[in-house]
Amino acid sequence: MYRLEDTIAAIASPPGGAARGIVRLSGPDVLQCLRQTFVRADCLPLSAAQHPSAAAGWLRISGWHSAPPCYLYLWPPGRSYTGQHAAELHTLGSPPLLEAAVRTLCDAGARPAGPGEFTLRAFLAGRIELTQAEAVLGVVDAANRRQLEVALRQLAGGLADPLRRLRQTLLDLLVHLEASLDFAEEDIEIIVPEQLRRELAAAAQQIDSIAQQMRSRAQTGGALRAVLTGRPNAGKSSLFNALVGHQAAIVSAQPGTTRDYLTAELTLDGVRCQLVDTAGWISTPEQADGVQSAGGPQTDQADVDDKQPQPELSVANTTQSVGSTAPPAGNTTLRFGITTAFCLGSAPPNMQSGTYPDIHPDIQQAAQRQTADQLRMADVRILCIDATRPLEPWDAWQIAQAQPDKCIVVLTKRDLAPSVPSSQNLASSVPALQNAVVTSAVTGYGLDELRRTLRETALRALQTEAEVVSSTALRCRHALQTAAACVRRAQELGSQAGCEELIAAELREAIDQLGTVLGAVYTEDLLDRIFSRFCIGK
Amino acid sequence: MATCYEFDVVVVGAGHAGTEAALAAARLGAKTALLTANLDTIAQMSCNPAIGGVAKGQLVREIDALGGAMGRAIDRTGIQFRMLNRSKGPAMHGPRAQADKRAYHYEIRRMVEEQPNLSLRQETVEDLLVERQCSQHPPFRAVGVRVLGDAVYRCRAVVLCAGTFMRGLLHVGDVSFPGGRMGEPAVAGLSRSLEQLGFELARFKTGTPARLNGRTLRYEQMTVQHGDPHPQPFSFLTERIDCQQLPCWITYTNPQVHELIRANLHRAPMYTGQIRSTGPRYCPSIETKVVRFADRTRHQLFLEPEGRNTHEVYINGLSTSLPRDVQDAMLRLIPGLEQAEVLRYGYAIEYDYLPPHQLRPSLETKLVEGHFAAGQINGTTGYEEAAGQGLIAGANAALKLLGKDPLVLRRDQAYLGVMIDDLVTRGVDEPYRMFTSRAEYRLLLRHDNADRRLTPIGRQLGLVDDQRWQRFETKDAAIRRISALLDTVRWQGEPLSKVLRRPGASWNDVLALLPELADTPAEVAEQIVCDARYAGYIGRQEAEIARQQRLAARRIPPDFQYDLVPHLRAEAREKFSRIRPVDLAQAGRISGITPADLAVLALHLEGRQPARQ
Repeated sequence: MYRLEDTIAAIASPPGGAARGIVRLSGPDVLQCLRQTFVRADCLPLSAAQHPSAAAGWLRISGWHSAPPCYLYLWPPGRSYTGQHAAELHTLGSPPLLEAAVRTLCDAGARPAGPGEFTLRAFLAGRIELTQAEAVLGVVDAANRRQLEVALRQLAGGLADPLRRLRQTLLDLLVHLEASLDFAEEDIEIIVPEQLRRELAAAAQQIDSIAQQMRSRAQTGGALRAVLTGRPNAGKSSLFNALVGHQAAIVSAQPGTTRDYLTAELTLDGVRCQLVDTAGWISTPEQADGVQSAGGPQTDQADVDDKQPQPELSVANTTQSVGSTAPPAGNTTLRFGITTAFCLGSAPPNMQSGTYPDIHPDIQQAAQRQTADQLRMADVRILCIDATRPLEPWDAWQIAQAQPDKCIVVLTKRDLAPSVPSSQNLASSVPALQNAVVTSAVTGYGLDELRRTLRETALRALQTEAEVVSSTALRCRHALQTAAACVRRAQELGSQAGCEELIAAELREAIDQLGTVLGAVYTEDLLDRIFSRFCIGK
Repeated sequence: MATCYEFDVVVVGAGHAGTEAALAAARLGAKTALLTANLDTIAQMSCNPAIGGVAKGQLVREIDALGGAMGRAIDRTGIQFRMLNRSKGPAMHGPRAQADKRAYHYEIRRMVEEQPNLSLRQETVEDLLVERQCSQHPPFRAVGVRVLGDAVYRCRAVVLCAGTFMRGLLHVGDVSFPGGRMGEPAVAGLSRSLEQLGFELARFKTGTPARLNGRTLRYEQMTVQHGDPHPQPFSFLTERIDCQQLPCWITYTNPQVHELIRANLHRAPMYTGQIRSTGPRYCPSIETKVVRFADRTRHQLFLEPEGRNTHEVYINGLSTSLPRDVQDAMLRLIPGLEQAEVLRYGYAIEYDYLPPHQLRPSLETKLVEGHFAAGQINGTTGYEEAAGQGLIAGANAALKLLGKDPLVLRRDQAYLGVMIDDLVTRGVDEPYRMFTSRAEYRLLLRHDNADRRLTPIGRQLGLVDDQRWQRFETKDAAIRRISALLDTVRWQGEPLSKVLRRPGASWNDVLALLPELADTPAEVAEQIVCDARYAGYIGRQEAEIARQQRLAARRIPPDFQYDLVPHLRAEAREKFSRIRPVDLAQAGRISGITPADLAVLALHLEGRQPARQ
């Protein structure tokens, strides 16, 4: 049950400490609540304004001796996001402070907002459309920049526009068809069969192109590819067997045992996933390019050059954290060396060992090519790093390159590691390794965590591929499928005489379906479907 | 001292709406008076001498299924019958007939005169009599009407069917003069009376073409159009139609005619500013057609005889209010009409109507309890639209006096339901004509099944007599029996009922397998085939119908204060307050209302319910 006519308050900034924290308010009693919570620096009383306004001042929190500094932003009804009287308090980003502020506002007559209530009010006041409301959810949920871009585009009407155009195409066609049905006595042919066929084909094409645009892996039904990668003898095959649950891959202490790739199907709590074991990377100078392109699946050399500033930034962070942490242990020099090398913006470091002399070079090369191919097709990469050995420059470069939403770093052979003191430090000194999953294929340690992480990463990867926010995508998919089926049936009917009223019925259904996605049709579960998923404060 | 008469229901006006209203009220047992200014113009066809057409024909079948008069009258007085849209699917078929205009008048008049409980009387109604009510809603109650000549008809319900007579103004060229129809006086008192009560009135325009003397036409210059060899009756009671049919004739305008009209637009009241009201877009005057469709080199004209005992011919397609000399000159240029002699000139008429958002779905006004309105006064055009509203309004007037719920048909039940819902929910901005495209469930709302949709409803209310009911039951039983049989008999592994759904399947395919069904009445076979053709589509629409019914179950109190819902957008609040929807389904159909507005309203109504319990 949603209420609209009371005043709601919530923390609108992300949880955790930050420089700035925001408390948001909306409802008829905003001013009244604020009068008891906020003191203007110029000591003027708060009053209702015709225009949005801002004021500096302090928060007055009951039981607190200090008055934290605060900016107040105030919107009159009709000018705010929610369409109601609304305000934002921008103050220090301390969680206890923000909670106290909300508590004080609630004592003054507000109530804590439920999930999505601000956006609900915005939607109901006609300030935003349905797809935009879902996009707000997408922005809030966005796990990476790409998802955020998708959500922001949708917020700006990106998805609604092609759907609306499609609906308009169908409506125009329907108008012609209806005219030919209702004006039987006129001596004009309002739509000739040829034109009808042509326009239906055009509509079908439009549907296809929208479906293409929002295509996601889930839609094609294909399983997600997770590829194990790492240096030879990093324990990829052992991990593969441990995850799959039987001895599929031959394991030996001899580096380079796996020369062909192996695949097995995993189901991670409902998410289907194809696990691929590859030959370990051995790098020769002429293969360095191959490694690089494998590092970022869809990128070619030119792209990597464009993206130079980004890895640099992350390396700079590494340097900073390394500098700020307690005495760096073990391979500090080596790692600083990597950093330096990388800052110079050059190719990845070569491996210390070049080739395995006892394996035929052709076979090795073929195996490496295959590995590169597999990595290019990977949705998720599982980068295996041997915890028993010092971090190699190649590993460090891979970690720095890893896209966090597409790559899981795994420290293997934990069962052997405790005897090697550097393994503990490894994680603490390289920040990227802090999120690494520590596993042991022998004891089973960390495998559940790895499965969970793999599942989450896989889901994120699925979402990233779609061009629309996933909740919209779900509704759109159904509507588009229905619309496509209607248009297809209409095309079939178009070849028979005297079926105009059936074609019209198909078009009407398609139009209604699209209207549902666009929020042009009211359904009882409309509100629940969308707004139950919002986090508080948005 | 005024003479006073006592009735239950008084119907004002005896056109197509008024006669059906009076007949329906009387059938339900109300002591009814039908008052008209002229007994000789009952059920007059002021314009086209024809009944039916696409969507309109379906309306007539529905009126008949509810016991109305129109279908039986046209079956008995038609002079040419055609099923329109025959090349399209059966849901699009619309029966249409040319009427013998005078014979139709006499037929309806006879039915009115023979109806028990019904008194027909020539009276000119001047004023609606009301009493103020203590309760807030509605503020007034209808108690009767005052007529010219110092007499009062007291009653408990008034059905107003004044057509184009309220402040009617006729235009021929630059001449304009008051009149309700050419040759008949307009009524001014009623408009004043309604305005004083607080009703909003508005103006519409309509027009009619010239009538010609058929003996002066050169038919050899035109194309003949015959009626159907086996006419389909309008009434479910008519076995078959055997009359001698008369032909109609087709000719065309040409660029010379269009040139003449363009040269005289400065004398056309539509374009000089003399007429400012909106006319029907769908039935435009010839001058409007020439202006709006400037690239067309010709427009089709139908020459339609007005009856068996007259040579008067109607020119369908040439409605105009151009001056007389231009009308004459125009005819000189049209093939076959070169020597035509005009019997009556075409003219336009402007009249007051009652914007129908002021009505409830029962056609009772929101302002005056017991005051109903039906027909052209509600902003519609067409005899069939008028008659349909008349029947519903008359029935509801009587039902109200009986203390029963009003007859409100749903959009998935009847074109009548679609029409009245459109009127009271969306209002009108031009004269409203029925189209099949207005009915989202039109595959269900066919002319062939109007009886199966509506006769049981009419029977339950008392609108349907024993004879009609017996006929219906026989037909219905046959359809059920054969449908059940087709469900069980299989062919190529599928029940015959499914086989019939295939494109191109026909009743003959059934007969080939089940020759014993050869003597099935045609209307039964037709219905089974149509049902099969549309079964899949109707099935897919059922979810939507159910959704609408769930919304319709959420009633909005008639005194609901929209001002107390501040979150509503201003536009939504204004529209809700104006239209006062009875339930969420109707609220959602108001134009310009968004799903978000509906959600706000739904939330607010939800919030109220626990408080009241």
